[in-house]
Amino acid sequence: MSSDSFGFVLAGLMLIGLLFSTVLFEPAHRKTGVAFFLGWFVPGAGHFLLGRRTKAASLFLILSLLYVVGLCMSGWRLVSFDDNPFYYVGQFGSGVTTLLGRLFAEPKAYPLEKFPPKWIDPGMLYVCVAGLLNIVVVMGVFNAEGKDGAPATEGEKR
Amino acid sequence: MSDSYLWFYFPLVLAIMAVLEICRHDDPRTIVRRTLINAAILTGVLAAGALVLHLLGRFL
Repeated sequence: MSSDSFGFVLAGLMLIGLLFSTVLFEPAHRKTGVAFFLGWFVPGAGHFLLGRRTKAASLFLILSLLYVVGLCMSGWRLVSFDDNPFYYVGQFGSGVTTLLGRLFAEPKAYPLEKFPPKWIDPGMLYVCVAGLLNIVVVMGVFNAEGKDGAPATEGEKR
Repeated sequence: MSDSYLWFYFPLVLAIMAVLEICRHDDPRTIVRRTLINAAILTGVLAAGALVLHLLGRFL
């Protein structure tokens, strides 16, 4: 499997997991299972599904901003495996951003004229961190779940 | 490494700390306070480590 197709395969796995989460999880935790895969695909979507609207919006804004700023700094250039293997793997923590980036970004674009070329590396780091942070957010979906799979009440929130 | 790289450090650390605290807490004021505190602690630790390395490199 080439490194270019890895993003599509991972995004496909996310969608398959989203579809099968209704079967894989017990009825009491089914919503959390869907939230897990949905949050993996779209940052903050899992919390949104569990009724944590403000938290979901905050997470989506921060992670999206981090991702877009990183892409902009690197001249809308995706992190390729040749650039940095660790950054490349890290960016796949978020599905839809990686998929959109894979579809629309220029793989070998030059940095923007207004930015110095040395900003490419920090830009790729921002993109990678946005992906890795989304993994933490996705894991937080299980904390957002209350008893019997229902959204946590104020007393159950940690 | 140029000093300008430092400007990328602060937004990144604040974003990381904010996301981690948003996952843990629900009160916005608590999130902001703990984000700033943790970012300051991390910055202090890194600065102290950098200072130690600088001194070791200079005097040893």
